[in-house]
Amino acid sequence: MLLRHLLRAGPWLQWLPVTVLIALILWATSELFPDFASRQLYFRAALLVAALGICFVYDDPASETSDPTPSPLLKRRSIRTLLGITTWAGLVALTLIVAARGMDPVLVLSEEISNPFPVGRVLLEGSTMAAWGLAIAAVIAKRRDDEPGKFSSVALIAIYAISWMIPDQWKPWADPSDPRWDTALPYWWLALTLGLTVVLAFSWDSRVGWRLRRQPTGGESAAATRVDSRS
Amino acid sequence: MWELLAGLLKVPAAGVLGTALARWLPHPIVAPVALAGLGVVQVLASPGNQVFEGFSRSAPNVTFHFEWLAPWMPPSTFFPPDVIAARPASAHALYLVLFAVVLVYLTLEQGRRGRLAQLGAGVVFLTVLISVSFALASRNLSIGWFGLAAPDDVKLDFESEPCP
Repeated sequence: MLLRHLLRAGPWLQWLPVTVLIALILWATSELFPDFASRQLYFRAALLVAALGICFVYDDPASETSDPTPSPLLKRRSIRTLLGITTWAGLVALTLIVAARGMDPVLVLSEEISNPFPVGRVLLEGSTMAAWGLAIAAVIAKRRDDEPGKFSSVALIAIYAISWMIPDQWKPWADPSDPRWDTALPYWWLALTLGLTVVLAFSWDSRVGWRLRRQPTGGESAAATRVDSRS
Repeated sequence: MWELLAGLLKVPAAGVLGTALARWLPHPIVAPVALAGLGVVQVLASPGNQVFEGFSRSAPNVTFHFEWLAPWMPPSTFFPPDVIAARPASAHALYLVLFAVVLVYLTLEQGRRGRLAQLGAGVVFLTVLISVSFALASRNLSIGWFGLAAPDDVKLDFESEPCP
């Protein structure tokens, strides 16, 4: 029931420009020489654009009226996340299929393979970008902003740009010939875990602290109610 | 001089582009996607990019000089900006002016009669861009290290001014 309503009311329009830009990037990628070094900038851009799309899945202009429902926030968020991830996964799968054409897709790099495409690492990078987009949207939505996508997507672009300016020894971006390719792997796992944890932590209904800060009069009365109930 | 002018013209051109996008596609996703799209255009227009250099499997003998539309060119130690052959600064400055003017026209023109004129302006502008791109490709500007090889009419004196 809830799934059907969310399917109808959910934000879908953002996937249109995202798909158009990814299609352009994939066309350019398919014209390039089929090796990882030539194509990595392109499919990283495609993964970033796909992550921009997922930043909007918590947009809910009707939340003022639809929030007081029997369904807990976690349930509503889970369905929204599931719907967003399904579309995102489709775009990422398309990106990987096109980007890996002419190469040998492998989960872990090996010297035995002459022209490998490290699917595992690429998926990890893409998932981390998406998780951070969702995490920022979840944090902003917690403050009762009905449409956190616009802030989340801009913040994600800013983080992406800043991550390229990090000093080399800590920079998460690397290519397979770089020794940092292996040393950056724990950073990626850490960033993914952090993103998912924030999404989960900010998807519960416990909003007392935030309400107190946003509504001073309501907060006082709520505090008084709590004192009364204790006595 | 031209490169400096092109840098200044970029600001109003970007402003007009933002305004036009906000008018045509009023959705918050458009701004971040457009920003990412500009980044993609920059990568596509980087010197030495294979996409338009005759590598294309669909048209192996056709080269399309896309570099002159690059929003930004990497600075070179060896060449002053005005002789960056892959993106002639004067042509790029003129392109930015035309781009802004056409976008302003397309954004402001309204009414049924204006639709045809808008379409015409857009088609003429795109035709000019494509024609210039092919014309520049015939001069073979993007050969050499990092696409910075100068055309024949530019003389570079390396001996009197050694590279720092």
